[in-house]
Amino acid sequence: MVEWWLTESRPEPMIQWLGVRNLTVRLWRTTSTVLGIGAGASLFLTVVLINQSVLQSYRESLEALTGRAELVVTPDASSWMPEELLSKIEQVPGIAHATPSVQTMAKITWADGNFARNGAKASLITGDSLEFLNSTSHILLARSFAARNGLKVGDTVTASTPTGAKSLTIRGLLPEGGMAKAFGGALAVMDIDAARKTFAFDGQTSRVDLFLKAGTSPRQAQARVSTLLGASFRVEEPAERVDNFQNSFRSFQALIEFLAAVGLFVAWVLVAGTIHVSVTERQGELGILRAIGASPMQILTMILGESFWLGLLGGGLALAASFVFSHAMLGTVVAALSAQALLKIPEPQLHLPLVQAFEFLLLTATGAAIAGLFPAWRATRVSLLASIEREQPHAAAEAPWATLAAPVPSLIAQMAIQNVVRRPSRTSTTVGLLATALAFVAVIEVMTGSFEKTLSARFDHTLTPELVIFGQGKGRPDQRQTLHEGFVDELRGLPGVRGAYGRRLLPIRYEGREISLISLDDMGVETGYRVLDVVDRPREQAGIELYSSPDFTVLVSESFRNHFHKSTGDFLWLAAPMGNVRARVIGITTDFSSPNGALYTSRAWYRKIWKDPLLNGIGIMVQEGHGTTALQTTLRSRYALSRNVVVLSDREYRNEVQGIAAQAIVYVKSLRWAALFIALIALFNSFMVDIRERWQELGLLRAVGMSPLQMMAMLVFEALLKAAMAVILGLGLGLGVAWFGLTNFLTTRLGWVFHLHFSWQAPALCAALAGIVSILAVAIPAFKAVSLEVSLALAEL
Amino acid sequence: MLLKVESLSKTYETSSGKPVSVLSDINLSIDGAEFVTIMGPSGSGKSTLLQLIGSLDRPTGGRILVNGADLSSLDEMGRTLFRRRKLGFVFQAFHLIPLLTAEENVALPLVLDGTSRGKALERARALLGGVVGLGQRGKHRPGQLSGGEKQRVAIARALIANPDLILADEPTGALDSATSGEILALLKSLRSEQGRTILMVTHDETAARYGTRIIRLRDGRMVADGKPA
Repeated sequence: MVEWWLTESRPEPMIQWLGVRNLTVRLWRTTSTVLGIGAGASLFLTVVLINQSVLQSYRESLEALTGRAELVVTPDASSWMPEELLSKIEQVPGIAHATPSVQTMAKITWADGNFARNGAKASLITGDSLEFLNSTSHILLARSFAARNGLKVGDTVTASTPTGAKSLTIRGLLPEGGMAKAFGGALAVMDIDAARKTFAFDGQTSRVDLFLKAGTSPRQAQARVSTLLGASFRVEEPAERVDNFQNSFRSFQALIEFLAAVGLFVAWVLVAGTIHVSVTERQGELGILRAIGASPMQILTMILGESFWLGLLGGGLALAASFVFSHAMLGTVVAALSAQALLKIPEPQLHLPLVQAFEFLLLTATGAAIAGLFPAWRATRVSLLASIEREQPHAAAEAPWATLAAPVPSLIAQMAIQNVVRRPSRTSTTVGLLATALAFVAVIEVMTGSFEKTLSARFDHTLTPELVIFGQGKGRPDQRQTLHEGFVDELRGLPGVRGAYGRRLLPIRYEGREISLISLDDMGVETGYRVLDVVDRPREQAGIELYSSPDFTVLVSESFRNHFHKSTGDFLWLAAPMGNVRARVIGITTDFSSPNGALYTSRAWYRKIWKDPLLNGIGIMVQEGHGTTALQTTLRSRYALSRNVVVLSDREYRNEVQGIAAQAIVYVKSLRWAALFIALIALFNSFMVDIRERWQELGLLRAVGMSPLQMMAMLVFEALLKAAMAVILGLGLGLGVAWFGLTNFLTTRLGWVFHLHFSWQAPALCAALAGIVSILAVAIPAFKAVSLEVSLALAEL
Repeated sequence: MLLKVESLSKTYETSSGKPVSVLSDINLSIDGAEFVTIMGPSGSGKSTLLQLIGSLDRPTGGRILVNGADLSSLDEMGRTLFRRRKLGFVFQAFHLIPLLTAEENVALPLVLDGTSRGKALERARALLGGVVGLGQRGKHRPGQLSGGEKQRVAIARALIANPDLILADEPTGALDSATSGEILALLKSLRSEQGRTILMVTHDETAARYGTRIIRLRDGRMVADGKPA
């Protein structure tokens, strides 16, 4: 016979309110978990927010600069193109007119010592302002920039140029909107011929904006102009330029987003841990629910609902926190991305569309619900009898490994060890959570350590000049104001200078990717060509071939070799201003200027092919018997102001480059603190429940004479034991991932070759952090345990 | 016949694999509106019998029929629905959900069965204010109630789904004698005034006398079945 109550079919009702009640009643735990999720998720969102805001900002700057131009022509093989190309382009059918401009970065200073962070832009302005056009020293500034910096029409500013400092007068202010929006308003506009003269771009153009005749499709015009100009030039729609920009630092973004995603993952692990702990703590309650008729599905949905809400609240917190973090980290990240993309990226306005915010909330909440699946499943399997009879399901004191504690002389330590080993489920949860965070710390520590060490090692065996000269400014030398090669000749004639050598870094494209073309003056065989960090053959031999060969030769970086599979003996074709040129690869070198790769060549060949007189830096060799510091002082007093340059010793230069590298990785390093914060909360929850579960047992220990101090020692020792286990596990896991990251991910995705550097610092840091986190996490639960009312605790027996 | 137990047995295995018989060859039948008490010393198997009838555990042998339905043929969902709709539990340790108020605890079985929360709470308030006399304490949490009040809330929870059978496991075991008397009187009135069927486990002879019938167990076997003296 089948009863009505069995055959009646209606969907299982949800009992979410019970789960929500649990979250509101256990407010402390809910708050701490939400904080942990918020920390992890906000890191993820911060990275996403910054990356897309940077991209959006760059897009806006491009649009502001190109205005209504439908196509943009830029040289692929150098920073300039011959002026005569302009008339050829204008003759292409469908082109209404072509507007040339030159762009450069320059530091601008004025009387009160302020300076424009983004430097000034020099480009053509069209208009009827005769006063503006009739002088090579007149500029226009964005109204917003001028207002920010207290500048007005008629004021004079000083710009650093390749030939030295030059005074410029503000003759007008650009209205809000349009071009003035580019680079956040940090740009200056001047007449194109004045700009060419001032910034050593004689007869050159760095960009041409094309406007089409009505009825001409951009694609059609693009094809025609590309055919005319050949492979040495890029003809793109403005949107394509943004895509190309994005491609140039996609790998770096991927690395950062991967690490940030680990933060989100750790946050989800925290949810899993919290729910696991909560289920363990509520075994009795779940048993009662099951006894009075809650179905497994209802229990499952209730627990998953709790996870979902925790994720949603954590996501909400992360939304707010990410804006704070983004503002704090924006400058650093923009600097790091600028370094990667080999161009100055304007600092963006942060913007998160509503739809994306909703998607993010859904992601954190759904992820949290998924993280809660296993503990929720466990909750459905809870033993009704064990729960109702108040048995302790984990109190398996007879576990075979409990005897491990036997040889330990201290009774307190013995008990601590037994507590750790007889609750394998709780111990593995605690250890697993901490180990995940420590693995994350180890990965970051080892990878950034390897990066820094590799960079440092490169300095140790390559740097030759005693002094280096760069244009004023911030960031990498190749992002500063360029210098004119005539300056090298001037330096060579100075007393105390044994030699002066120019270096030029030009971003060019090879097979669709942006690479660095680095040209160096010959420093002579007597230096052993240490500056060329050749790795596959003797440096001296490679140096002689690079500077003495009758044909065009290059060294390729390891990253270039990894990406394009070109090695010593191969040939490659490079797009140059006057057409394609064939280069013979004569060696492999190390270089980190571009993730896509770098080519090294002699400046004599570079000058001959690219006809570029500019330099990014000059190395100075000091004559024997002449003090380096004395020469440095002389050069500073002579050129620092007149040419707007900095003169650094090799040590100072090294520190500066390492500082820039450190700035790039500080972003990554900050992620580890979030992971540890999450682990701290997770461990606190776990210890809290552990103490609660052992309430009667602890009461009994106090009743039979254990002092509060002994109890505290026992609990802290337990926490440290778990921390030690987590250190071993986390280090093993972290080193494995770091090794994989360095030997595979970085090589294949970024192309850079870093050597795994493992020092005592990573394990020492992990051990110290694990100890600190464990002691902090156990402090309050242990205090609670030592302050328990013995009679009340025993009454529960 | 409401409940029929046939040749029921339960055997556990110790950690060394040795079987230990807790119940053996139990046969009994209970009609509606009976108040049956099960008595016996510790380890006699009385709680195990209650747990088997309450489908909290599965028997090793024999079968349990409730209104003709064989519990052993039910799957997990069937057993859940049986507990939810046909049984009311009252435990020695009350087993209320600490984070819910008294009326929410009482309403819970109905909510689990799909009744709207509002309707379930309305019914819970009526029960608390009526049969168990706790109308003023509905908004209090278990921690704010006395032992006797907690047990009254538990009884109201057991009644709310209008079950066929109420199972009470030492319901006065955690109460003083005065409060125990009140609780037992309440259970007794449920039978006499509402025609409820109650099966109560106790080791207290005084408590057992509130029932209409006493079943005695010893070493897992039924040794007596009769009316209280």
